[in-house]
Amino acid sequence: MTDGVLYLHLQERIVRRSVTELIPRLAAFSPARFAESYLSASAATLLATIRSPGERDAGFMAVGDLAAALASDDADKDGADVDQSDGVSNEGTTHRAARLLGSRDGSAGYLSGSSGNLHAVGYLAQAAAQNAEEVNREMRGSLPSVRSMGSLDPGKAPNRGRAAKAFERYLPEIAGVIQETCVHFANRSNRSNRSKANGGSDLGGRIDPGHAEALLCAGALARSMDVAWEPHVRRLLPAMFAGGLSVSSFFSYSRTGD
Amino acid sequence: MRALRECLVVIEKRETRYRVQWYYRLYEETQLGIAGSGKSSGNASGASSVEQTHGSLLAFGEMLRHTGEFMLSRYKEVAETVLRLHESKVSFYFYFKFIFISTWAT
Repeated sequence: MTDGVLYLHLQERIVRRSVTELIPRLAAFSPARFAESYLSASAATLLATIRSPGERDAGFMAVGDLAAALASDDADKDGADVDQSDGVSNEGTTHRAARLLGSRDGSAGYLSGSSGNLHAVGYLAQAAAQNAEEVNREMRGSLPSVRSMGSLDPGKAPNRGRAAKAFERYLPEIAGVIQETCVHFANRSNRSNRSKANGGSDLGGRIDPGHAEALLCAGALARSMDVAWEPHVRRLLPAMFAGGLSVSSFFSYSRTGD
Repeated sequence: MRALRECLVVIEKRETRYRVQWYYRLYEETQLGIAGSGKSSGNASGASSVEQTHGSLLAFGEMLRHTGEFMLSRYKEVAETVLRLHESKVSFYFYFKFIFISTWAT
């Protein structure tokens, strides 16, 4: 019976994972239409996924991809492809985002591929590294005014469409889960270090599934959601540093991201 | 999946009037894979296997990317199918988990 349930669980997990990875593609195909009709259900699904320890890696990647897909819906084109049940053509917005998505097997892939990964993290890195002094101060305990996200593209006012704006309401919850993931990893690392210092075994040698993806997701959200993500980044940075991200890696990622 | 992707890319570039027919056939087969009608799957019970469902989801993903406007009029159907599938699979798993825990407890 146990084996049967476990087998079933693994089998069903493949399907759930596929669904998770398909959601950003649906969003990329028609961002405005997706935001209008399916965003709430999809966000609920993805939030449940990133809370599930065994599936949060795919969930975080999908959240990053989803944000990128929705952000591709410019405000200028708002409403242009909302009502297309009659099949009216709109090559502009509708397929552009879908094509932007990469080619990771079985998934949406905006974050996929090594260059995509590094670029996403690099973007966050660039945001923070521009204010390295501030980051250092933050690490010492004082939270500065991190204007990094605003300085990413200072000359450009946020021009997000309705789809991206609709997604903003889920950012606090996503940030909360990213923070939990980072804190959990930090706690485990600390326990492991203490255990090693006391001559015990290494308790936390491996990285939790989803931890790296949580950092990537934060980078992707910084890139896609721009200033809307800023307050969350300010809250997240200490946890991200505690969870393994370092200033030096910020700099190196930043160079790679460029 | 890569093979399917490459095929769709090639087809997309061709200016052929059969293109929509091919897309439609692929779409139908993909739907059958999820609905499990048994027509092409040979599944006597009519239920689709996990492999069929997984393959169909991958195919949907590729079709969304590489069939241009063909999926526009089918978007609602695909989106609802996909989201419904997630819910049903989750509840299916938890149902069996519940059965298992109940059995184990007794």
